[in-house]
Amino acid sequence: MQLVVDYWRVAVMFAIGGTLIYLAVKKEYEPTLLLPIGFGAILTNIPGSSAIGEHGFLTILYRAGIENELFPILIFIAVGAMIDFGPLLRRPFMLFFGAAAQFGIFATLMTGLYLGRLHGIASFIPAFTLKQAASIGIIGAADGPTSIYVSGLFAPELLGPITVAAYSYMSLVPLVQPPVIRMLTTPEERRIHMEYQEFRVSKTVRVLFPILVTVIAGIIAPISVGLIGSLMLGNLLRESGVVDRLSKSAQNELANIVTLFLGIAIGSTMVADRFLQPSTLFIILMGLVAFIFDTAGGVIFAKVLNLFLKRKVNPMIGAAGISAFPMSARVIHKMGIEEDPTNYLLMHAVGANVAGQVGSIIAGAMILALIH
Amino acid sequence: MSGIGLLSVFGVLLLFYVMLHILMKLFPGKNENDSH
Repeated sequence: MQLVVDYWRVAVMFAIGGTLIYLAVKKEYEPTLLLPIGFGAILTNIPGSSAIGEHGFLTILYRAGIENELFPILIFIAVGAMIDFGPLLRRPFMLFFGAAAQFGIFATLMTGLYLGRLHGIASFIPAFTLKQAASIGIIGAADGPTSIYVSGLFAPELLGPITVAAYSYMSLVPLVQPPVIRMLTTPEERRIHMEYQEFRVSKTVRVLFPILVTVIAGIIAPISVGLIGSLMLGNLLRESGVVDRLSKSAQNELANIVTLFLGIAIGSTMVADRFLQPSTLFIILMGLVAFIFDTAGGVIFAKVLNLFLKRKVNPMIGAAGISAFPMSARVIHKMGIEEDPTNYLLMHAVGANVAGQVGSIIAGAMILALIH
Repeated sequence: MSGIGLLSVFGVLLLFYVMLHILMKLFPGKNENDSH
């Protein structure tokens, strides 16, 4: 009987791995991560698999890069080298949208803790600890590496479902955000035009920005230095203009190799016994809650600002304050065009979206500092 | 806890906002030719 149950679990894990590969190949949902995660899940769950265990290559990869947080750090360097902070530097005001759209992280954290109270009433509801709830909440950062970094530190046992949820919802932003935005805004608000002035940002500012951000954030929360410092190191490589080879290597070779290793190593955490738990379903659901509250937080913040501003902002811009770049900015621009074909919100939305990349990593850092 | 977390994110980003304003005043782009 036990054997039948075990094979049933294995079959379900194969189906989950296959689904992730399907989503990557057919739907192109975050394929660079979901494809290796899906295949890693299959490799891990083959009975007697030599890929895991003491000398299995997936175990070695996990110890080499996930257990000690090395892979997410290397990914941050790569991501930093890819980010152009220009749209944010031109409109620093967008930083506030990057903060407001982190609301989902903290709302989900509270939801997770509240669920723990219900555990006594219904035992199938998981009793998440504070660190586990924080790790689930960080799905709302809409930033895969930050989710991996925080959950790797706080709740490595939940790393698989958290990563799958984070990357899945990031690719589902075009489906998740529009209904929430429409629910919270009127057509008139969605038609608000915003002035845009293009100007050049000096190289000095571009070079000083990553250095000063690292120093300020590092002094406030020293635990965040690994997280923010690596992202900003990547950006400094890009903006310095003197280490083009390193910048390109970070953007290409480093990003590709580490993404591959990261993906299959995370797939190796999706062992049937651990993954097929009610908590996985709750994590997937709470990830959706996080994205909904992120969007709502950004939009409502923009609407509140409009009560005080002479030049109104289009409240949809608030929703672009999440880290899913450039997906969210495109969604907002498209919604603006649908409402009024002459309303070009792209550059503002990109500014808010880049601010979201800074906001999400700061939110991750604050969670680490407050809970660690 | 959550309130403090969100407020601290706003606080740090406010610092960045102030920092950026100062940087943009000190090093305006129009006076330089080396911008991207």
